[in-house]
Amino acid sequence: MKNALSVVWLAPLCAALLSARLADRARARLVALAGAGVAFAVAVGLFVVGVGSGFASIELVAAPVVAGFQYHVGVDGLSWVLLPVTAALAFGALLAAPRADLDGRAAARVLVTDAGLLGCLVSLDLGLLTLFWVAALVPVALSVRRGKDRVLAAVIDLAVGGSTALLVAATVALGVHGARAGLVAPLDLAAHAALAEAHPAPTWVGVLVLLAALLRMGVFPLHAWVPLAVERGPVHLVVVAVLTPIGSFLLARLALPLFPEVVVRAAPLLLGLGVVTALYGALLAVGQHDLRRLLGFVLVSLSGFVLAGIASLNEPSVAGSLLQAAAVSVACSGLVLLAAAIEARAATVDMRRLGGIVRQAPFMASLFLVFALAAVGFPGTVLFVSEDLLVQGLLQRHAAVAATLLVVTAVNGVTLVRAYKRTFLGPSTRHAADLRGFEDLLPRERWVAVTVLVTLLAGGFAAAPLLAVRRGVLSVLRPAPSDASHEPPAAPSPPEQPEP
Amino acid sequence: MSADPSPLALVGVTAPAWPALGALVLGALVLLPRPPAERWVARIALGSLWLSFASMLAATAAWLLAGPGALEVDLGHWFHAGDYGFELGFLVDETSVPVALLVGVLLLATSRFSVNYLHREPGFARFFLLVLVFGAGMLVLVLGARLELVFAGWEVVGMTSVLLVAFFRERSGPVRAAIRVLVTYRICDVGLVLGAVWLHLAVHTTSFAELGRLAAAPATAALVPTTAVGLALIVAAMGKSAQFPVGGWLPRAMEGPTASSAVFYGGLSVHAGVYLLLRTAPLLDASPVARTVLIVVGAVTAAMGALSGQVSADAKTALAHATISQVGLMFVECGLGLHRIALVHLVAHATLRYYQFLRTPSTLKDALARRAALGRTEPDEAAARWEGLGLGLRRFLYRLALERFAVEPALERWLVRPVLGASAWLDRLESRALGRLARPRRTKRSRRDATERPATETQP
Repeated sequence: MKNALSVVWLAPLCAALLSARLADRARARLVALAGAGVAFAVAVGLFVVGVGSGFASIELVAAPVVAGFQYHVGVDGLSWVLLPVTAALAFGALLAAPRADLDGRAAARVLVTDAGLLGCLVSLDLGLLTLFWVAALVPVALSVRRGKDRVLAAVIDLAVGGSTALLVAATVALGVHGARAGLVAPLDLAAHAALAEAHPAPTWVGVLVLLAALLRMGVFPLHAWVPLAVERGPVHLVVVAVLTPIGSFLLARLALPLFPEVVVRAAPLLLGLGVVTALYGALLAVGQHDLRRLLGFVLVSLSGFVLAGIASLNEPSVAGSLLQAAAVSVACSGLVLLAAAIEARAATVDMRRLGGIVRQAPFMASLFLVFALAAVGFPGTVLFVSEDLLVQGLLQRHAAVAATLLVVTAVNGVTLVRAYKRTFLGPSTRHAADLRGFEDLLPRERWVAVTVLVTLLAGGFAAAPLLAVRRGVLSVLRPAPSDASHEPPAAPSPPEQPEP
Repeated sequence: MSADPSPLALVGVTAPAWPALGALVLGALVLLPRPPAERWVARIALGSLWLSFASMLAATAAWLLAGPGALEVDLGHWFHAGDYGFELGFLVDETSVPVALLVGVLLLATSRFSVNYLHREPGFARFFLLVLVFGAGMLVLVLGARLELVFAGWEVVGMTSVLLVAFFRERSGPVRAAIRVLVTYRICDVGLVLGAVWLHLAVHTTSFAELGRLAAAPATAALVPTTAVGLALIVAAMGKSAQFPVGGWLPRAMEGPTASSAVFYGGLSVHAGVYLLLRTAPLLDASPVARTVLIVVGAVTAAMGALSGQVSADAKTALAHATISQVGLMFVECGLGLHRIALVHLVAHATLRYYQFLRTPSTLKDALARRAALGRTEPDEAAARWEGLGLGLRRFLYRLALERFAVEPALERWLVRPVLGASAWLDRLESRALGRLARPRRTKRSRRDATERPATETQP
């Protein structure tokens, strides 16, 4: 069973190597689907084993420490849910991609990204995590470089280069720090977490880690690459590379346990950034005409929620935000994949030129609406649960932040349903009326979309087990803030507490 | 009050579950490649609504048998984290029983009516799916014992109402009207969530029974932030019940099918705001500010609705304005503390208005027939009533009423346009900044700068 932890990232990697060499598209696609499918099956299998064992952590340590690196992987409360979600996103993106767009190389890029992300999720060694982190980003950068869009290429270069440099610098610094402290494996995360209390690493390293995570999450003012990638990037790669919640994962995996002091001190700032991001994303999304760009800004806005929840450092909020991060990525992926399906048929996602396509594609329209509602926390979907927890947690100390986030949710709801209306309803525009051959979702797209739908609904009705998975993580988190701030956790504070 | 609920009560609180189940089944059928047969759709819808109505009767019986007072049924947690949990609880009492029964009756009548009315309409299954979802939401709203649960139902009611307004989705009018409804609902619903979380923060409960007890006891009454929460809840109620200044959506919402207009805007949805006020009455009663706001908002709305209704050119719009003005009166009653009267007013008005909405198409026909038989038009009594007023004042009022008191242009100018303008401006700003970023890309130096993105990114 422990070897499954290696299979989960090796399978897509091998499939990538193979499919990149295959000239025959159909065969390359099959190989790619097989690789991603194995990873997904293994991730689901691990989850099922987890359900059986009450989500006890599984770890695999391969003994030798080579140049500071050690092959130490595992799955714990933080990654139980994220593993199947990420693997499913990659599999779904490959399945939904139009055959014409998916040659061997394109499939290989998605697979390498998939392998990198899954590797990140299972890594318990910082060196390993950084390697996987880079592997998950490089395919996007390579892919946009080949395109003609210079702005996109430049911005993605900056984002990828920036987050890589930040994380590599932090890894080196932590390695040096660990070696000085006498750790056998100087990059082992558990060892560093144990070290954090007595012998903390320098503050600036924590700041680097935070910046890397914020950049990856797309937090204002480091957000610009996210909407741009969603708008103009190769969409099926972007779903895997940009929409997966790996930035918030880094916050929870690295920043919280290793740098509790830094996180607590930066918390007011992070909270502020979260609110500003949520507001900014919502404000920019509401005026967009391009459906993909609109979804990009909604994604930015929702990352702001996740950040604010984590920065509030109390149990309901952090639990809510970790759930929110996974759920947002599922709902937004569904929306982006539908937008891609529209673009493949109508050659545009400019909503001024669309309209009335519900007649040709009622199934697509209904699913878009449900995903849109799910993304803003409609009751019955998993985001209702996560947003409720997030806001309740925030309100205990930061009433103004919670109120602002509620307004932002309202605005995002308006944005998304208005987008639904402009894309699907009303009389056809001239362009849309010309699209006689506009087909509803194809069976493979339909499968992906229905899976997303079922995930969102099932998560909403059975939220308690999803929250239970992470209980272990939260109990680790809890002592850090209350110890550092010396405040009684249970005392209700006055609602007038200003946001910092 | 009962610690462990009787089996009858447990059956009773399944009332919202039946329409939800019916909706799930219908939803699955709609997803199939072939649209389901009308007969099956009607059977599923009516069957689940009858089951739901039977459960409501069971709940009523359980309440009557339990003796005086309210009957609380707790079903435990839905989810929880830390010290916060989302509790599923239902409250069967003298406020919820009549309204729940009204919901049951009106839903059954609507469904029966629509089986014929929407025969061969392309959206037949969709209509019933939405009505069932609405039924589930409305019953959760009515029977919910806590504000969070009420909020869940409230959201479902709002969204189904938006989708039903846009039922004829090929036309631009209904779709535009639906967006207006949506925007109003979403913005005003923030009030309800805020009220709920605020209560959690202040007194750690949003249970209506609990709140009543807290507000009644002099020792704890000061703890409840009545004014703030009351105002937040009033905002929510104003949106749902189309009160001034956010009531412009209701006359436009008549674009939906007649049957849904009747059940939503004549019968149930539009009264949800008043119901919320009745539910949270102990809280509102304790705050003079909230009561004053209620009276002012209700009175202004009632006057404006009455005036606007008289100058409406079509029957449905006139009815919509009449509804607004009656609901405004209910707000005034709530503000004055006349809860029993408001409840009776609610049930009576919902029933009458529901009937009137369903009858509008045939009423017009009747009026035409009467006119033809009489050989003349009947005198306009409403116009005659105004003749005592001076001509200038009459004209002024007439113009104001025709323009619906210019509420919507004002909102458009001071709210919608600035927001969209800011959005476009920021978007241009960002695009320009990114464009500048791309220009010096070919030099080696800019590659090195790539690692310092945070620094360059912040400069516009």
